[in-house]
Amino acid sequence: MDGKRSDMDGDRILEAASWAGKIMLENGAETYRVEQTIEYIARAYGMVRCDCSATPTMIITSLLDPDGCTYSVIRRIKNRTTHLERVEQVNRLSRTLVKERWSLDKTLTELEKIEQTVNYRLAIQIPAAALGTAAFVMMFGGSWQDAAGGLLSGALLYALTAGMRKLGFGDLFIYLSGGAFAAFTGWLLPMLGWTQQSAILTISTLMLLVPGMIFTNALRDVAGGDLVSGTSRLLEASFIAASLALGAAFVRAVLLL
Amino acid sequence: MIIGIAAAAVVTVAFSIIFQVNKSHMPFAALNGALGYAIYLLLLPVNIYAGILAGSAAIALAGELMARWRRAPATLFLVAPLIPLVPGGDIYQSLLMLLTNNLSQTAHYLYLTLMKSGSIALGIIFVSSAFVLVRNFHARRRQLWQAGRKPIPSQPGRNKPQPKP
Repeated sequence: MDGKRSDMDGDRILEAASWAGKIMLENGAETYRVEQTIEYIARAYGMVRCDCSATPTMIITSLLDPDGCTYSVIRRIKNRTTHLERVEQVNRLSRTLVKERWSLDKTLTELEKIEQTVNYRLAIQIPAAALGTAAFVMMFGGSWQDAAGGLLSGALLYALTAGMRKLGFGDLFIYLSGGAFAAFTGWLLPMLGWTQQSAILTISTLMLLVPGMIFTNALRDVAGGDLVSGTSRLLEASFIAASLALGAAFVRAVLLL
Repeated sequence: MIIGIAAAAVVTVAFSIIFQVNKSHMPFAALNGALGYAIYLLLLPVNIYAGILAGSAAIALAGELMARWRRAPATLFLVAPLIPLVPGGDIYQSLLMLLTNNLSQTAHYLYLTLMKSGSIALGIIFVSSAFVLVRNFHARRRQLWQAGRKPIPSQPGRNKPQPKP
């Protein structure tokens, strides 16, 4: 290095790129999309080399500017949720940077806005979950009465898991108790005489918590060659499915005694 | 059967809301869910695994095409439609049988779970790994295009690392 000053603000470019990747990974994007987005943003601001490695729990980014300075950062991903609207918006931002020349400040404020985006509040999600459970009951061949029971149990289960998540319980514990709750309502409602089919009601309620998102992303990661992310996501999905079913089956077995 | 397909569409919409997918994409996701479940139901009399495989492959293909067309990540059109095919009942039954000490039934339901989720996996992997080709093609083209372009200027850094003397 000859002490030549670069006319690039590498630290802030790094901040913008890794922040975009963090938002995507926290909200349910596949690994390749995270890595690609970081690379696009870094290159749009003139970085000549971008190496990036993302796993479900962290992102490592290293950038090289034209003067030979290297900038690198590790972002740790602690809590992962599903919020696909944010993923889509960051994706759109990286597409926009290819066409339009946004200043770094504009990109950073836009990212801050995206991080705060909420598409549907809980007041909309709970009725949706109830409707979904009722639809599952119909799909599995339940009666209209059972579907009405599904509306109730689905709404309660979703409210319960959302509340537990807000309180900060561990993921697997949430799924265990969600499964237990599904089995409990599946036993209680037929006991009260409101519905007929106990097993259908339990399974339909359980479907609400099935790790479909993680499973799909795991497969897409494996298909794209991101083996570390793919296998760890597969493991996560099978743990979730097992704890969900275990919670339900345990309560059911106890109630059957 | 019609009830089943309609229920699959409703389930897809419900999960799109839970996964926070934008409203404008939701009709397409619902259509995808109904399509995949219809294919599954049609092939069900032939072989259940063939039904699940074809259903998930159709959902993955339609999802990827919709993603290219709507210029949005494919996940939006893929995840919610796949939910109706997930074997949630079988894994519950297998653990219930395990806890009630019924080992042959446990093995049976565990086998069903693995076969069904394996069929879904195979369906997605077939299609997604074919679309990796498209993904790589776009990436290369974008990289070449970006290499010949002037970068967006950024102001000199506040905490720029000073070169060592």
